[in-house]
Amino acid sequence: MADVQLKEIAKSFGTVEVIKGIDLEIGHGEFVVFVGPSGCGKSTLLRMIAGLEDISRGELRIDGRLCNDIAPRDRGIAMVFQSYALYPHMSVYDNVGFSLKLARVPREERDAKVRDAARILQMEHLLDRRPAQLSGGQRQRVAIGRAIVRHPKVFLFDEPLSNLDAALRVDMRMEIARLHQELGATMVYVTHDQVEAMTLADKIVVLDHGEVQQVGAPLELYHRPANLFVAGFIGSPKMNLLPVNVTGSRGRSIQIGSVDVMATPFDIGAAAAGAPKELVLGIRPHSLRVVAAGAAKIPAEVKLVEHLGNETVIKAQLASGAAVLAIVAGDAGLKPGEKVGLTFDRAEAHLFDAAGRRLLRSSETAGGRR
Amino acid sequence: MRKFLCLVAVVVLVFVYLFPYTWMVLSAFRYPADTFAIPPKLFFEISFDGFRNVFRQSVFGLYLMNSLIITLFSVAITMLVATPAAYALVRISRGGTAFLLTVLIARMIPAIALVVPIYIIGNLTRQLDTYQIMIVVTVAFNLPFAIWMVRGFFLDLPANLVDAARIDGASEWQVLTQVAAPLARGGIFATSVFVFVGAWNEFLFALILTSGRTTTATVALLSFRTSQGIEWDTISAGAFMVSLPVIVFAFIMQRYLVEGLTMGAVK
Repeated sequence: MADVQLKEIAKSFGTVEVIKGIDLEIGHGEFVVFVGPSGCGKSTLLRMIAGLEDISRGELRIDGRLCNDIAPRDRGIAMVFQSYALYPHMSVYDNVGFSLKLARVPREERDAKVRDAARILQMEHLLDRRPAQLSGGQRQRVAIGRAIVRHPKVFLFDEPLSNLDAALRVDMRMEIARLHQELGATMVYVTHDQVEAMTLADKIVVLDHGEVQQVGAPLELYHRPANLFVAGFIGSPKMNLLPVNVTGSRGRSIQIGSVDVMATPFDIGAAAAGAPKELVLGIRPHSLRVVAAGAAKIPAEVKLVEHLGNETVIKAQLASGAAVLAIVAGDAGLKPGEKVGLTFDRAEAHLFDAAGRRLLRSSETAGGRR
Repeated sequence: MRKFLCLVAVVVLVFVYLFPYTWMVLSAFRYPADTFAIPPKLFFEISFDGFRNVFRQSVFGLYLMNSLIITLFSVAITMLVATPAAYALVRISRGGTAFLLTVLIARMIPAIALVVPIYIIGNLTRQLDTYQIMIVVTVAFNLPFAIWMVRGFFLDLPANLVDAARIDGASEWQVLTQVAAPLARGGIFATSVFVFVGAWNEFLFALILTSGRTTTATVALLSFRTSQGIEWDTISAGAFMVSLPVIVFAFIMQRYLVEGLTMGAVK
C-alpha cells in the first residue's frame, strides 16, 4: 500500500501538450478511477505513473519517493493491460512467476507465491496452459495474477475489461472490487466506461483534453457535476441539457425560462445578482417525471417509448424541436404522438453558465471546479 | 476454370524453377554423352563418375568443410549482432532512423567496388586465404539485410508485451532474450536461412581472397572447367553437393521459415 502524488504533471509529444499540469493525490489503499473519452490522456497519465512514458514536467511521488526518473521495475507498481499482454510462449505458471524469476526469488518461495495468487484468482487448474488456450476472462485473470504475485505498492489497470463481453465484464468487475477489499492495495484504474468508474471507485478523476475536469466520489460527481463536461459524461443516459434565459432575479433567486421551459425560479445564492442572461438547464432523465399535458413546466410530445420492464425510456420532443429523454419506473402506458407534460424537482436540476461551469445553489457550500 | 488456370500457372512456375536444378542433378548421375544426347534420353545408365572425379581431381571435402565453417560462423555472428541491433533500433526513438538509412546505404555499394580495397587490406594485414577475412566480409555484407529483416519482426510484436516485461522487472537485455527474441523466433530463423544461403553461395570474395587453404566449394567448382573442356558430370556432381546443405538447412528451418514469413499476418 502506498500513496501517489502528482504535482503539476505534464506530458508533451513535440510541441503538443497532451497532459497539462495535473495535480492529484491518491491515498493509501484508495481505488481511483481515471475516466474520460478516447484521447483525453487517461492512459498516458497511467503510463506516466507506471514509468512507461517520460514525465515532461512536474513531480511524481510514490510512497513519498520522487519517481520521475526511476525505472518501472523499481517503482513498486504492477500493471494490468487491456490486451492482457501475457507472454504467449510461456505457460500460465511461468507468466505469473516471471517477475519473481527475474527478481531471483528462490524456487520454493516462487512456487508458493504463484500458487497463492492462483488460489486467490481461482485459476489453479489453468497453471499448465498457454495463454492461447485460455478464454478472454481467464487471460485477464492471469494478467491480474501476474500483478498480484509481485505484492506491488500500487496496482495500475489500463482498461482491463474492455476486451471482454458484457456478462464477463460484470463478473470481472466484481472480482476486481473483491480483490481491492481483500488486498487493501492502492489501485489506479483507467476506463472509458462510466459504469465501471461509478461501481469501482472510491474516487473518480474525470479527464478531458489532458486536464482534470473534476475529482470526487462517484455520487458527488453524479449529483454535483462541476461543469457541463462532467454533467454530460457521468450518468447514463446522458443528462438532458436545455438552453434557457434568465428572465428576472430577486434577492438570491433568479427566474429562468425558454420556449421549452416555463418560468421557473432557482435559488443560486449570492450569484443571482450577477447571473448571466443565458444559461443551460441540466436535468437527468431519471429526474424527469411525466404528468398530464398542461400541468407541467415542460410541455412535450412523446416520440418513442421503450419498455424495459422495470422502467420505461421515453424520448420526447419539446416545443423548440429539442429532444429529451425521460426514464420512469414501471410501465408508463404512453404511446408515441401523445401530448404530455414533464416536470422535475429543482433540487435535482442544475444550471450552467456560458463557460460550462455549474452555478452553485445557496444550500451548497462545497463542490465546483477543482 | 479459374482453378484450372491457377494449376497451369503453378505447373509452369514449378517447371521454370525446378527444370535447371533437375537437369543439373540428372547430369551429375549420367555420362556426358547421355547429357547431350539428342533427342534427350529419359532413361539412361546411372554413373557415379562425376562424384568420383570430384574427389579424385580436388580436395573437395576440404572445400566443402571450408564453406561450412565460413558459413556457420558467418550466420552465427551475423544473427548474434543483428538481433540485438534490430531490437535496439526498434526501441530507440532518437537517431534510429538515421542509423537504419546509413546501414541501408552501406548495403547499396556494389560488392565489386570493394573487392580491390578489401584485397589490399587483407594483404596488408596478412589475412588473405584465412577463415577470418572471409567471415568478416560475409558478416559485413549480410548484416544490413539481417538487421532490416529482424527489425521488421520485432516491430510486429505488441508493444504492451515489452511494457509488461519492463514492469515485471526485466532489463532491456532480459526483455530481448526472454520475451522479444523467443517471440520473434520464426523471423530470426527465417532471416538466418537467408543469411545462410547468401553466405554459402558467396563467390566473388571467396574467389579473390582465398587460394588453396580456405577455398570454398563454390570457387572449387571452377576447377572442373579445364583447357580440355567442361567436365559436365563432374561439375554437376560438385554443384549438386554444394546445393545439398542449403536444401537440408532450408528443410530443417522450413517450419520456422513459414512461421517467420507469415508473422504478423494473423493477429
